[in-house]
Amino acid sequence: MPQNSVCLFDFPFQIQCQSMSGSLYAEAVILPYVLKFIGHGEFLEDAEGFIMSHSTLVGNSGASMAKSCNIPCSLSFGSTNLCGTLVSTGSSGSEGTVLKETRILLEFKAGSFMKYQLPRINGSYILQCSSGGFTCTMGSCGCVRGGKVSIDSQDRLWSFAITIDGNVNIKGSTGDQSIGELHSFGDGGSTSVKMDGLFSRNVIHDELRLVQPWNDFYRNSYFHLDFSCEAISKKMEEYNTVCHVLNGLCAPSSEVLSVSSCVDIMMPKDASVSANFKTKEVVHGDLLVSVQGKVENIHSLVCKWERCVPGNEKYSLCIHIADNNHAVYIRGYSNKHSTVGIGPGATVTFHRVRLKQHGLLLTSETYIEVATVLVLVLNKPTNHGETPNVRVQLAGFILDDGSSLCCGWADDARAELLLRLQEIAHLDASFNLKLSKGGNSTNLQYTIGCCLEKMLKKHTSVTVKNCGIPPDFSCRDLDASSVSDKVLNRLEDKLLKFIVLNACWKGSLNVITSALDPDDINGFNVELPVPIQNMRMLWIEEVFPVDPLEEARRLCDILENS
Amino acid sequence: MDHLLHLVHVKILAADLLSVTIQHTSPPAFLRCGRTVARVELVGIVVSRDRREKFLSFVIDDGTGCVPCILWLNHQYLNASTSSGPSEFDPTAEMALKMSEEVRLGTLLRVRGKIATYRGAIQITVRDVVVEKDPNSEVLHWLQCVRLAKECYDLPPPSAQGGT
Repeated sequence: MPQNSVCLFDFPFQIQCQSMSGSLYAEAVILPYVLKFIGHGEFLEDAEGFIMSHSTLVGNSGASMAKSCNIPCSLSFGSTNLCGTLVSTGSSGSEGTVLKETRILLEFKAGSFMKYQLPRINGSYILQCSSGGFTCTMGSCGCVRGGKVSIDSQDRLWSFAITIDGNVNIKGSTGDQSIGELHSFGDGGSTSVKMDGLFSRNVIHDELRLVQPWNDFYRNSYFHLDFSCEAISKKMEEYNTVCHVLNGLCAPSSEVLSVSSCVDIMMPKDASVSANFKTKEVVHGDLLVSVQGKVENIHSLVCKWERCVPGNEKYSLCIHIADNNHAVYIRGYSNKHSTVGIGPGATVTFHRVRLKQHGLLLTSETYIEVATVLVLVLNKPTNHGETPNVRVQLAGFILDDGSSLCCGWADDARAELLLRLQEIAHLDASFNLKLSKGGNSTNLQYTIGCCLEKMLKKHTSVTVKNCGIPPDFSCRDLDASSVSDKVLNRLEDKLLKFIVLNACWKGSLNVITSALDPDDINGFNVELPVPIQNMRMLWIEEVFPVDPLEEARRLCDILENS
Repeated sequence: MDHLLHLVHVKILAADLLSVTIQHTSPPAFLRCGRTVARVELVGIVVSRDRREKFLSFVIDDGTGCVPCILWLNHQYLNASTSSGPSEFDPTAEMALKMSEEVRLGTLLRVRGKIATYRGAIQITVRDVVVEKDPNSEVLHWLQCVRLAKECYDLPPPSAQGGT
């Protein structure tokens, strides 16, 4: 599966969904194009909220992407047809800017599955930007927070197909016969394409295909983005650039490894075996592979943990797959509904599995302890419900898993869990006296979040920065400030320091992370000391407590088989 | 100096910790399998406890050995000598005191801190203690020690690997 196309983290994606809890995730890539429409109308107003963007190719295509794109086209939807222009846009929103790959995570929230049950890997979609705005781009789009777009039942996600004079144009490189044939376009001639219903280039008999064939996908697309032959002939170079970019999304999928190949990579006998893969990638667990094998067994343990993220049940999963010579385990945490269809005897291809030196992991990473809190940006919540008490706009942590340090960033519920805001604030009576009204409730115990809420009513937004060098720090290294004109008093300063110390001096947690581009947090004007700049930067997607028994069992299995 | 392990809290068993090599530099350095370690994490039972005015000393037994630990409680005295302000507005002393109250005989604790020496013997200067209510935590710690030793701690230092 191409790395720069729509693909799924949780596998396989279900066709039939029953009562679902928790979210499902898909990885997508933003296209660097915008549709500009001409004319007026009720539909046009909605259309202005559309964003169609695309990622650039890595490698040689970089130079071509520097050229701007401005091709007349039309977007048809049912009987409606909008005339417009396809315009390229950079990450800064300016035309002609050299594009950089923008990868995002789509979160399909519970309740939206029935509506979006058939997103197609390699398919292209238009997502209506919740913030609206004609000039909204990836970088400024409010619906993308931390590289993630959450889609619920109210959001609108439409598939689209590219047509030429009304004929469907399959994007796919010549020779990729599993997807279809792309006839080269020249001299204004029309194209005709053959569509192949197969998804995988590797035909597997009796394969359970959980996605619709391409021809059905394009036939059933909500939108058709149509280019006229005449327009293309006048903008041939620009059109070829667009095709080149879009074809890049359908680049031949990365090799699907056999189980034995994975074993050879993990434990190479011959240096040349690992020559195709960077050793460093395997050592650091950066290598994502596709692996195919026959399922021999699958363990799915019911999660007895207290739910840290309501509605989300994470299960420790271990899947045994084998070929004729070897067997491996794929481990990790997954939503319990993701394993429908996987059972002993099934031949399954797993995509985007992380290959490490001693095993295969579902795409997730775990780090265990909060060593230090780097940055904390706290805001007064804008809603007026009972929860949350506080809105953690951004929190940076130094995480220690016993082998290395890394820098993890989180917001909202995840940050609250890491900061332990739900715990009782064990501060002295004088602090409680200050918080309580009437001065007669020294025995009252407040949660840390509650204490913060009272403070933020006065200050609106507070920032705490750790000026120390990790992993050691003291309260003297913490610098707290308020955005309001009011100065933090001593007790408020004490509370903030208590929060940081409490987060660092507590037990372990499990986190699931994704890679973070440091540019994504620059909007907060965070200045990081050099030792931290060199650390691995991660975005914390999930936080949940450690279940010692289950973790111990999992480790036992790993050690037995290593 | 191997900075990678130097910065993390190495998960270790008591027997392993008590057998580290002490380099008599200033400050002293501690080597485990040729790699410098400075911080450790232990899980064990409190088998001895001695509360003094400015510190709490206790011993952790994890079944492979007994490790002396010291938790300093003199932060208010230290803060008074600095310009950081009155100690009653720094929660460090208060939190250290609360931690000391959780160190009770027979309690299963997770202890994190820096390796130090006292009269030639290894001890831990405690950063924090966490009471582990689940007895499986001890077994989990053993397994984590074994796994991390195999995958990380026992590997030769980066310089010996040719810089990879």
